[in-house]
Amino acid sequence: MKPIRHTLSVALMFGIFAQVPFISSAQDQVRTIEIHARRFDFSPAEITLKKGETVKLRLSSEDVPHSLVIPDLKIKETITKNHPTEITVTPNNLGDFRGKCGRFCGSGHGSMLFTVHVKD
Amino acid sequence: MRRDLVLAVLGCTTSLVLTGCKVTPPGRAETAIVQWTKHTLTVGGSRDKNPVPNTADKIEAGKQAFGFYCVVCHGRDGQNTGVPFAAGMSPPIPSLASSEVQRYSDGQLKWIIENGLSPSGMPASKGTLGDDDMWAIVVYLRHLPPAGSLGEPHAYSGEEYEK
Repeated sequence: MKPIRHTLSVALMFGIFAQVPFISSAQDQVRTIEIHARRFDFSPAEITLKKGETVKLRLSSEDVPHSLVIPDLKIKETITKNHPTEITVTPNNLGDFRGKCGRFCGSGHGSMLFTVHVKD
Repeated sequence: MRRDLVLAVLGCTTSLVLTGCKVTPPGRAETAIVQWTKHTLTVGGSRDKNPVPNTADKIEAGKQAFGFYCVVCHGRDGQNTGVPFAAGMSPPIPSLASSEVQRYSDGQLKWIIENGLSPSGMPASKGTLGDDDMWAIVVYLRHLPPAGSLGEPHAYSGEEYEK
């Protein structure tokens, strides 16, 4: 009985470890783009994505609270200092999608714009 | 050089004597002339159409954008509720629900928000507010709540330095 349990344990562990590379390679395929918000711009202020590509956006503020609003991509996310926020987006339509800071942040708030270009 | 300085001082003094620097309410004639001038000559944008529809969510978006900083002078309701200096300015801050304001077209109201209005204390908001926000504010101005229904701006609550 013991050798069988042993064999089963080894087989189970092998199975678990054998999955790990697959999990990490799947995660590696999701591109992460860092976006920094500060008074009064986003950096970068525009990004280019491939249609159908799933991308992770990592948003962080360097000063006061901001937010990223891109209505046509259904993105509305608050951005705070010291607490980066991650969102996943998979654009299914081609085009240029305009975004902006949706949280009033001072005299240049209205010029804090962002654009997502989605290409084939 | 000295002559220029003397002339400049004389000019400034004369202007001050003629115009005065004390804030006083404008007279009827002055108000009528300035109103006519603003409505028919100086305020642009009369042909611009509002791209933002009159829907409940856009009215709310306009209210939120109005809350960014318009409330400090116009009150939450756009009718000066709780604004202590509204009547003391020259010209006084008008109720945004008044016919004086509502007679402007949507395009003119957006133009005023964007460029400010002279003579008045209305500042230009270009750069401070985005186009979408300004048009949404115009939608809100067309759907203002009853006067006093939203309370007073936080700025006048006396809590500025409270912890």
